[in-house]
Amino acid sequence: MSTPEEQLREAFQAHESLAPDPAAVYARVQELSRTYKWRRRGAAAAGGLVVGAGLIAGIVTVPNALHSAPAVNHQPAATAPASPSPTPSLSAAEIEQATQTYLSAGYDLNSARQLAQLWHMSGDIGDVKVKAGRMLLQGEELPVPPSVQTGDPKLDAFASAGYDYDDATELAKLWKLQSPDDAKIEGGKRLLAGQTLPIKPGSATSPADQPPTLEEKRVKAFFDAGYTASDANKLAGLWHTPGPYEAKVEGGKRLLAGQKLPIAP
Amino acid sequence: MRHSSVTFEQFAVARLPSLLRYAVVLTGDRELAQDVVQEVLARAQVRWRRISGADSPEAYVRRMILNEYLSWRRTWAVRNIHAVGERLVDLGDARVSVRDHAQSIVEADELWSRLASLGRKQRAVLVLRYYEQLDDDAIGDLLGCTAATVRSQASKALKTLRLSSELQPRELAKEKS
Repeated sequence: MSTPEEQLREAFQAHESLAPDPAAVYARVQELSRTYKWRRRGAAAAGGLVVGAGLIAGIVTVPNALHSAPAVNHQPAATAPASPSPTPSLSAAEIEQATQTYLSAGYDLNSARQLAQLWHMSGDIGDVKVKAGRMLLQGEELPVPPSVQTGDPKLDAFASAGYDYDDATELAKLWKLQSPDDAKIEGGKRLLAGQTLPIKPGSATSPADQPPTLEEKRVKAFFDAGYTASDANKLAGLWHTPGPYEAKVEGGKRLLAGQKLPIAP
Repeated sequence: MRHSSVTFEQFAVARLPSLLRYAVVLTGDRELAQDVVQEVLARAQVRWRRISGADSPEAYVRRMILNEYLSWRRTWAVRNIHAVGERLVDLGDARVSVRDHAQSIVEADELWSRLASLGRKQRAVLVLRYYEQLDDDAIGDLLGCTAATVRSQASKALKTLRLSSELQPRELAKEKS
């Protein structure tokens, strides 16, 4: 007769084999992390609210809700290798590089929409930009020219004046519009009416170039002081914060204010 | 901060199978384990520069998995139903011909089923203690509670599993210490 401790170990070890296929999981991880990146940028663009990755990730607790965002280049689970290859899909850095290449070449959202139609891609428009950016990086030509005319006089007026996506993002914030697309239309309308826009063309910075938020600074201060995730858990219990992330923010806030925390790092 | 040269991809290739096994034991559910690990690794990939600078990136990620499991918001009633073929008994019927081995599998499966009746924290305590083989101080550190609370949670869990009679002396001795 085995001891209860042995029984528990046996039960745990016997059921380890129920673990899912690592390759399928890895492919989905690539999808999710890319989505997080886009959500982060989207959040910054839409509401002018730049929040930490931890917060963005924290509100995404139902992966099934993200299935509408298809993968850029991952292998389907059914054909994935038994163990993930070191480069089975794009890394966050590769996606960023491809997107920046696409934007730097003068292509924009409207170009991406045209490409999506040509390539029959109906999912995330970000996928189109990444695919196009990778083609440009490989020296290939895209089937549409940069800064293509859209046929919409407002959008064309906005683009012709030298405004880009980041400008539209900034204007959406200033005008409290829901999206950069709305800002492009509003901006084009004003330009056609002979008005001047509140920012100069090309003057807005990309969300990725913006300095860290106060919240991000506080979290950094927390870790820079030598505190760990374990400390954050303890502090979350002491301060009754919703979670350890909030404890890191609060801890960093106090540290930046010159205060001491109730526990040592 | 010390930065490791290990990339996220290298880490995943080396450690993902182990992380998935841990998550399955922790959650008791293959689908939930997959969801939890995917969620955690996606976040870890975005923050890999920071995580790779930790003393032990794997310990950091395992802790993230534990926290994700403890804070998972999905309905558990649906999750706690075993799919046909998932139980070891089902697998064992097809595979095992030796009686003792089969009996052992049945017992392990019965205990596995009873584990599903535990609360998340109590289950986590047992997994950390008997699967991860951590001491109660380390478990308390992970769960944000004292070692005494860990022992209390373990004692309650063992009672629920009807394993308390054999372990009671050890638990009592620890609680008194």
